[in-house]
Amino acid sequence: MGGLCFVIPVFRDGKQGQPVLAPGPWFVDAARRAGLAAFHDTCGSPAKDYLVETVGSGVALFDYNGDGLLDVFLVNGSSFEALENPRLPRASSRLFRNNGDGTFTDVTRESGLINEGWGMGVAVADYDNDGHRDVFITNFGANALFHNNGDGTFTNVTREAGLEGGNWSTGCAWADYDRDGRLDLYVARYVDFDRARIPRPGSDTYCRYHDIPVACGPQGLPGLADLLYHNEGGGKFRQVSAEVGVRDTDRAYGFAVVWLDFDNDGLPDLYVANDSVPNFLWRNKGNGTFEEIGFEAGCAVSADGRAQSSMGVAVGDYDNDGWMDLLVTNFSEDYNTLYHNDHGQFEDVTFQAGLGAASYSQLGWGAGFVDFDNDGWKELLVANGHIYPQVEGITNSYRQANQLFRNLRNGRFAVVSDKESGFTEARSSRGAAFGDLANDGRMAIVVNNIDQVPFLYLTARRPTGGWVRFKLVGVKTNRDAIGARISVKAGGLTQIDEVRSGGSYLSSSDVRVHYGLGGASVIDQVEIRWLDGSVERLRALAINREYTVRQGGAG
Amino acid sequence: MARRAVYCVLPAAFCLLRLAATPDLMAQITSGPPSNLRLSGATSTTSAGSPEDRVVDDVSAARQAIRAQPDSAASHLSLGVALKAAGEQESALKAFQKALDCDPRLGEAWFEKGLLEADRQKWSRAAGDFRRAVEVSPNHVDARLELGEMFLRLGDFKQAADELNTVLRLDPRDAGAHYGLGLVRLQQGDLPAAEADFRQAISLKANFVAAQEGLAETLLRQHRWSTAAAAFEQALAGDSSSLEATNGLATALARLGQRARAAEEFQKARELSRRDLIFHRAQGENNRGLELWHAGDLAGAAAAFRAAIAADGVYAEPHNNLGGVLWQMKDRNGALAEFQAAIRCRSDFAEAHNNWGSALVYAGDIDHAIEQFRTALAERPGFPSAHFNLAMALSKKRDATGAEAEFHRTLLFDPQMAAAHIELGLLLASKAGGLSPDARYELSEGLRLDARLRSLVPAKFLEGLR
Repeated sequence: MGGLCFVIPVFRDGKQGQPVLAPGPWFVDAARRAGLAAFHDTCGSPAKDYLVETVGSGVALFDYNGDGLLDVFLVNGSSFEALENPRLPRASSRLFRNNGDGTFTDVTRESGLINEGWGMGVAVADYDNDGHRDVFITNFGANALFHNNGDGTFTNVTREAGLEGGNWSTGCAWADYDRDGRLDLYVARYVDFDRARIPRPGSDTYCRYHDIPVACGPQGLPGLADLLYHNEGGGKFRQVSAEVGVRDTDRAYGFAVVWLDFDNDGLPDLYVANDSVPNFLWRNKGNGTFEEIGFEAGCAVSADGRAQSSMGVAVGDYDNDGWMDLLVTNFSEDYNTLYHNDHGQFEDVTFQAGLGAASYSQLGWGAGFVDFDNDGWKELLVANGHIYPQVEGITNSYRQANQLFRNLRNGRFAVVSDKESGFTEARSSRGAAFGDLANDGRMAIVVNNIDQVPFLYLTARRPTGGWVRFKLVGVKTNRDAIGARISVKAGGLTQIDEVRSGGSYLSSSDVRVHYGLGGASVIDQVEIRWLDGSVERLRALAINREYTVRQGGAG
Repeated sequence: MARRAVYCVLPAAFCLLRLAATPDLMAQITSGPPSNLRLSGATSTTSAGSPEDRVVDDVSAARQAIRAQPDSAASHLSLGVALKAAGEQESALKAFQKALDCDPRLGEAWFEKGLLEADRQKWSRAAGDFRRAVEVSPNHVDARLELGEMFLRLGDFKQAADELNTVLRLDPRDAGAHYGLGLVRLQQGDLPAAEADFRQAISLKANFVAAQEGLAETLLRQHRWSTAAAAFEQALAGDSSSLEATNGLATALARLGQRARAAEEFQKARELSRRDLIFHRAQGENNRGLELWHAGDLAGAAAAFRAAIAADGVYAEPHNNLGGVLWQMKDRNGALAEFQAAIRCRSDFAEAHNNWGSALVYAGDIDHAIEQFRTALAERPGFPSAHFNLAMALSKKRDATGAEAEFHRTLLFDPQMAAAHIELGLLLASKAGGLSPDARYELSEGLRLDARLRSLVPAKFLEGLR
């Protein structure tokens, strides 16, 4: 390790070696104890007569005030009544400050991060490279960009930035696709929703589910084209979708969005999970333009060639082979699809991986590949919940337990029982975000539940291995280093991951990158490939701590 | 008479112009088993190719039997089967239900009802019916096969496998059961077993396209690219519009390094997927138009139908529906053009032929109208409105015998059609030179069913009916 590496060890309370698994569940829900139950999601009427009332919202974990602790931002929906009657109270999204003692305080008002639209998704990033993370929120209605003033407050700069969008936006994610040092923004959009034109539940074939009258769509309804915004600098963005080849000409029903380098060429590519139509993989051609290669790359449809009703997406190299894999969550009576990446070519290996049957009844949303037990192999978390309350007790359950899948380290996963995972309370979950809330090497999960209080899943078991976390600071690249790839070699394993903002389902997880290290007592090598192509290496790092690495600072 | 012709077009058209022949696809159907999943050929008794006369005879015989024994479950079952063969699914469903009301242990009626529910994609209901069928008749192979299919559709693979294995115990040569088991194995990731089942299905039933596709997919999952490509090509020979097979072929070709051909097939897959999306959106607009039409918003309905046509120019239903709306808006030429357009999109569109014929009657072109009604009936032999309209047209041509026969046929398929009773009564009265008993019965029945039709009955007959 060179002397130029700027390293801050944070915590050292993880145990080295191979700790014995503690009995009891993996997680406990600490939302009430932590104060997050002060948030109650609002998403239209209980009957869910319209699709917009069914899709819920996301969650973001980020350090808004620079105190080194992850704070929690829960996106809230709204109701038609509230939108139509300004006198009614608004259901704002909520920002909770991490007090550092396991509790959170609602700081929405004083922070000014007040989104009173019908919130959907969120992506957090420092778009103006000023060292403070800003917040972009998609809405049913105009979207919102909140600039972080660096003093614990935010200013709504949507109009100046040119990011209003329109109608119904869903997933969003930041990345510097043209590597000009400024973060660009992709916004997925769903249905061109005009309530006056939407048929009543049950009125036609698109408004019935197993013969039960339900909210209509999305099939049968007009869609909306996704939007790619180029960051022009100076706080301005320009919509460049068509000129860079991101032509969503069929106006697919877009949901989750995630940037990843699927072909290891150092460029951020984009995956979009679409509902009811094939998913998109926009390959970054390296010249500022894209081509859609979902079919060719094997990740547009399931193995049997069906377009699935996709909701969320997780990215991660679950088998540690050096290539980013995808897990796409889908509607019920279908499986969540695991696309294994073999040198840039995906293959649906869901059933080989043991994930098929376990997800068949569930309707999946947020998802993440996260190493919760720090054994060096990523588990899979899927947040579940049906969209139709009408199915309860007839064909399925509206409230569905979330699922944890243990990585068997051989390309397969095993579903962890609800009792063992600790996911014993079923709600209708939507967005999920992941991060180390206590900076103790234990990854936590925050799940936004429709019309309910959220889950805060904290690791109840002592992780089985050591850990390391990296916080990158871009200098020549965007300051958040989004798009940088970090390879960690330890204990005979090489793990990769990337810095990203936006993913799961309409959510934004910790930009710091966490690795479980198993029984390794030292990290042999860390390789950081910054988005500008420069590579830095760190060697012989101690475990169980966080390293802040400034670009150019590693020897 | 013109007013009567209009009457017969519009109310009939209004209901018939509904999305009659469009698959009852649900928004979530992209999920789950393959869209071409069909384990048996049990529903192939439908109508389209049945000689009209035989269908009429069968329905007639069943109705006679019911008249003789109103509580005969078997007769109601026969009527249901005959109506189904005539393409009258709603009426058939009622007949099967009536049969079951008479005898809940009539397994065949549960089975037939289940088939109709399955055709309407009401899987849970269908499964319930098939379950009742096998409870009553444990060796009913087709019912077990259908039940297995429903379990597959509902995602209950274990129960599906149980049923399909039972089918194979009863009939080891059942291709559908092998195909279904292949799908179960595929879902379970047991590729060798899936392959064996698909191969068995194909060996037992020639040109079993779905099984061929299943086999191809199994081979693809085993990375046997070359044999998979060949199998997909065979599947596509049977169904060239399969997105699944096209994507599979493209994938196999790509893995075989045949880039140019793979690119071509991927492009086809995209186009097929796009077609599907366009169709659903057009169908959504069409459905919206129907809702507006039912609500009496003719202008709104016309706009929605036009939007559907703009979205998908070869989609027949919105043309037909727009024709119906324009007819109500008194735009006769516009309506005529839309009915014709509907038939250009789909030549076997019985409802559009019927509507075009009705419009031709209004325009005074009786001969061509009769041609259209006959075409409609060739496609859908039990179509009550087409029988009625044909009777009216024949009546205009002074073919009283032909008209009388068609009125009878109308009532055979729809005994509740008041206008047919009235028109038949008037015809019989005219033939008899007065209010004969038959004429009296028909007129009375017609007025009983719909008293508003009194205006169609001459005062002297009304007097006589008192």
